[in-house]
Amino acid sequence: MIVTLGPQATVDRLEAVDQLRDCTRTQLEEVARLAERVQVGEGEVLAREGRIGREFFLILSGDVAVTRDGRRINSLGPGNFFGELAAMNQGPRNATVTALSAVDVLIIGPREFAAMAEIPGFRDALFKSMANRLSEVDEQIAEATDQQERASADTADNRESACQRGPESSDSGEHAASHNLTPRSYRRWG
Amino acid sequence: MTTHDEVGAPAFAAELLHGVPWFAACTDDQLAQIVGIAERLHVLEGEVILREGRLGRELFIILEGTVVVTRAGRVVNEWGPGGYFGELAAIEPAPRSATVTATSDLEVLILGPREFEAMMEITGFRNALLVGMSRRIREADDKLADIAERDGGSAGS
Repeated sequence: MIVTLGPQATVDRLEAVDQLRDCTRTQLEEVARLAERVQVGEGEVLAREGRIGREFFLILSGDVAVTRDGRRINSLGPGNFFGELAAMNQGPRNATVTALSAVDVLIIGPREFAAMAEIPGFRDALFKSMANRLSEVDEQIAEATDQQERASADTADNRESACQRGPESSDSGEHAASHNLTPRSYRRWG
Repeated sequence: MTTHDEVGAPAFAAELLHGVPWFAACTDDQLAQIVGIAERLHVLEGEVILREGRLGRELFIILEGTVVVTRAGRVVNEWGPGGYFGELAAIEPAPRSATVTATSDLEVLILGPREFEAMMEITGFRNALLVGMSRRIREADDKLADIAERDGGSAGS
C-alpha cells in the first residue's frame, strides 16, 4: 500500500477532521506546515506516563489506547488529539498512549504548537475540547466523591445493622444495592 | 438582604475570579476587565437558571451562593462561589446539557455571547485561558487517579 505523505494529502485529511471544521483551507495548510506526519506501528508507545515530552499529537487514522497506572482510561481515533496539556504546561506526561493499530499521526512540537494556537479555527477547537474535558472531569470527580461518601455511609450502616441483628445476617450486599437507589441528597451544602 | 456592599465591590469579584478554573492563569488586570465586561444578577433561591434542552448562550460565574446541576433529574454536580456553568453552550451553540437551580440566593456574573466575545479579545486572555484550563485538567486528572487508587486499594483489602 502506498501512503502519500505530501502536504496537500495531509490537508485533505485535516479537512475531514470534524473538530477542525471551522478552519479555512489556508489555516489547515498552516497546521500541516507546522506538523510532522509520522506513521507508527501497532504496539508503539507515543507518549509515556511520567516522562517529559512536550509534543502534541493529532490522529489522522488508526486508534490509540490511553492508560494511566496500567488502567485504560480512554481510546482515541481519527480526528482526536492529545498531548495539549504537556504542550502548554511543562510537566511529565500524565498518561501513556499506545497505538492499537497502525497509526497515521501529526506530531507538533511545543514551539509549533504555540504558533498553531494562534490559528483561530484550531484555537477554538482546542478550547472547545478542553472545556468539554474539564466539564467531564468535574462531573467524574463529583460522582467519585459521592460514591465514596455513599460507600462510607454504607459501611457505617452495615456495622450498625450487624450489631442490631447479630452476626448471622449476611445481607450487606443487598443492603448496599438498595442504598444505591436512594437519590443523591444535596449533602455538600445541606 | 445586604446592608453593605463589599460583595458588590469589583475588587472582590476580581479576587474571586482567580479561583475560577478557567481563569487560573489570568492576570489581575485581565480579571478586572472581565468583571467590567460582565453583567451582574441576583437570583433567588429555588429559581431555575438554565433548563436542560433549552437554548441559551450565557456563561454564569457564581460570586455568592450555591447551585445544583441536574441532568434527567439526577444531580451531577453542585457549585458554590467561584463555580461556573453554562460554559459549553457559551462556546458552541447547543441546547443546555443540564438544568441549574439556585439552592440559595445567588449573586452571579453573566457573560452573554457579545460579552463572551469581548472577554476573548482581552489582550493575552486566550492564551491565559488555555494555560489555565490545561492546568486544571491536570489537577483534576491527578485527583481522579488518587480516587481510583484509593478505591482499588480498598477493593483489594
